[in-house]
Amino acid sequence: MKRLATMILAAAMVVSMAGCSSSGSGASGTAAAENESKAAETGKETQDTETQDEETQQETLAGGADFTGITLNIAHSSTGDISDAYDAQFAAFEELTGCRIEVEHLASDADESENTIQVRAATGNLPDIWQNSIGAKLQNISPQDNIYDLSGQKWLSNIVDSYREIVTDNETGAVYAVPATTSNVAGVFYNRNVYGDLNLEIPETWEAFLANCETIRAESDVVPCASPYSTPSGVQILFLAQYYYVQNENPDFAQQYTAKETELHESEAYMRGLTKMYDIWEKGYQCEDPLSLSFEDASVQLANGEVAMLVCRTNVMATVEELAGEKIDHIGFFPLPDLDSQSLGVATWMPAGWVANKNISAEKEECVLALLEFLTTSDAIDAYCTKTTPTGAFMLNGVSLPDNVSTAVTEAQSWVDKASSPVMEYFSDIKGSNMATILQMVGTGDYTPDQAVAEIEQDNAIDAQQKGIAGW
Amino acid sequence: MNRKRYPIWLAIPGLLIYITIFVIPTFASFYFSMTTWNLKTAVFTGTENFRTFFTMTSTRAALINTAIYAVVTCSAKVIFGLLIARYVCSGIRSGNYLKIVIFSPTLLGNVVIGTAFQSVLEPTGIVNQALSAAGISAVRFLTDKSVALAACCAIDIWKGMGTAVIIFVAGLSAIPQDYYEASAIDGATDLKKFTKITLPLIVPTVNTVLTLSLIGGLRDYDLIYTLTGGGPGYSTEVIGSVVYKLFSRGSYGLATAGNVILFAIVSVIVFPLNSFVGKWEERL
Repeated sequence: MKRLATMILAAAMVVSMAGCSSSGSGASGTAAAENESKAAETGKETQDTETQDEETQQETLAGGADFTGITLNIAHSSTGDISDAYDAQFAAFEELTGCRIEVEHLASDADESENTIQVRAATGNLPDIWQNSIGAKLQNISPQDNIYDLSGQKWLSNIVDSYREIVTDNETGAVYAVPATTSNVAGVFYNRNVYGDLNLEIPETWEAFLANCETIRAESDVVPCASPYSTPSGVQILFLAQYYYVQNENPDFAQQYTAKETELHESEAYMRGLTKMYDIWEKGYQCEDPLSLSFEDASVQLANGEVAMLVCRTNVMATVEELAGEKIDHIGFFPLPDLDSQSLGVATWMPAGWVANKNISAEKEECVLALLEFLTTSDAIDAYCTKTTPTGAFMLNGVSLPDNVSTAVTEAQSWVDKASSPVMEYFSDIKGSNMATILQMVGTGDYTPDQAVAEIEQDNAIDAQQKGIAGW
Repeated sequence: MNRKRYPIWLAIPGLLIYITIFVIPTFASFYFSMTTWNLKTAVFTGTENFRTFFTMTSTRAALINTAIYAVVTCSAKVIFGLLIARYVCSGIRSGNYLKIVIFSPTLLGNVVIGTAFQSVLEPTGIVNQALSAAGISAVRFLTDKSVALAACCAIDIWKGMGTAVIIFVAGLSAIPQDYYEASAIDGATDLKKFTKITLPLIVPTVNTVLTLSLIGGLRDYDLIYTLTGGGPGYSTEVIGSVVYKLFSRGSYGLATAGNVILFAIVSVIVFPLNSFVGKWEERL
């Protein structure tokens, strides 16, 4: 009995001593962190003076604030390199301010993760910061009730105007999001070697594109056009990329369609998008089993020259870099051709945005704002680029793409300034639940463009009615 | 004479849980199925959602596919499940080992199975490699419209067989051995024993397996969704996957209506079936 009591006492002493020492080291740890962060700031200041004037406004970052003890919850649906890049950004911010960031991974499927966020908004269970779709889709989450209004923050000038426009509520002037990653440009990625060997020219019309396909099929074993239709995203890209020509034909198409003033089949450009998919199938220019071809396999085949062309977005280059990095410069880019060479242009996807919870607790508010500000600075972009090579523009002022960006991405970016439009989803959120299935059926010859558009219209009408959009 | 009962308040905790997690959500979903609902505001639209649901192209395909899928998987599980159970209970030495092997797929999640079979069945997967070694040209199991639903059924049967066999094994071992011994003395053949003793006495177990696997088959969508996503086209779309797609597009009202319809279909089929088999059981 005596022995037991002694042991308990001894144990208690050890525990309490351990407690002392840990709190002691904790204190010194904080001091060290403070020193470190100060050092980091001085380092940053010298860096800032070295870089251009545009960045002087960024020196106020976090005002040297110390957020030790604060934990932020951040939810996003990105995977792979992009997710790693975010982690690098968060780690840099943690080091700078001493706060802790817990990342929660949502489903990588866009519809599914949006659904999760909406359910959590309705149940009052939103994270502090999350990645949200922007443009017309912002409305789904009732931003005025759920998202922190960033208008009035000085650092908003770091974000380029075209991005700020689509995250701003025109009526109230509220600004909701900062760009999370890079923009995406859609078009045709082609293998330069195949084009060189067969002496092909870059097609500027859809007829010339089909003629190239014919030559490739006739004179080589190469598959003319990869068609990775196995996923909902893969099957929609060609069709969605056509939106540049739709808005070129009628700049107000999306708005008019949302207000039910026009129908999809009335737009010739819209119909041509379906026809293009159907053409590739009908003439047999695609691979044997499009429905089992994954995006990754298609991009490797393109790099290897087993297929000549692939209609997709610039983010494919990150996949190529990862899986076939040494062949990255075999790939070039040209816009999806349409009627004539004068009207050529590209459709873009804007990066999803980081948004903050409107009902955030007071002690976290400052930290959240500091993080959002940090994410718009070149320091954050540097951290991002340590993990992945960007495949599009960051939509930030004073941040340029690094030198190691692939040539295909540079070519695609050059079209953004010349002739581009964001895709339809940024202007109208009407989209039925069967869009991907219908497009799969067009791409494998089950539906003609006319049958498909009739079904898309019917499917979209249900979606619009369910959303309670006026006029439907 | 007054029969002594437990005081009513003893039931309250259980009742409360039952009401909050079952009764209230069920009736709430009946209400929301008649609205357009964005999780915050619900606008009452009467029976509009139900009409819309049946006008969708995907639903028409889904109703037929769900029926085929449920009937095929359910009957296969009952017939083959009984035969396999009869075999593993026949006193063979590997009986226990076989039970474990047959039951093990049941332990895997549907999504795991779906993802695994996706790679097994792809055009260059091991099944097609085996086929090509045997000189048979590759089959596009999951992307050919005429095969995809059959492939999904086969995988579900493989997965669900374990449960059916285990229930049948329990049923079979509950039959007293005396009957078999008595019939053996009277000179009954194995077939006679099976049809005259085993079958009549196993009917309650058949009823259980039939009901469980039919309900499972009607409601199943996760396995199919991971295998094919409802495709190619609408060829493997089932009611569950239609509802899932509607939910993920934010059409909560319409999706709930789909769920209510599924609930009604399951009830309309399963309750009469259950009482029918029950009566058959009494007659035997």
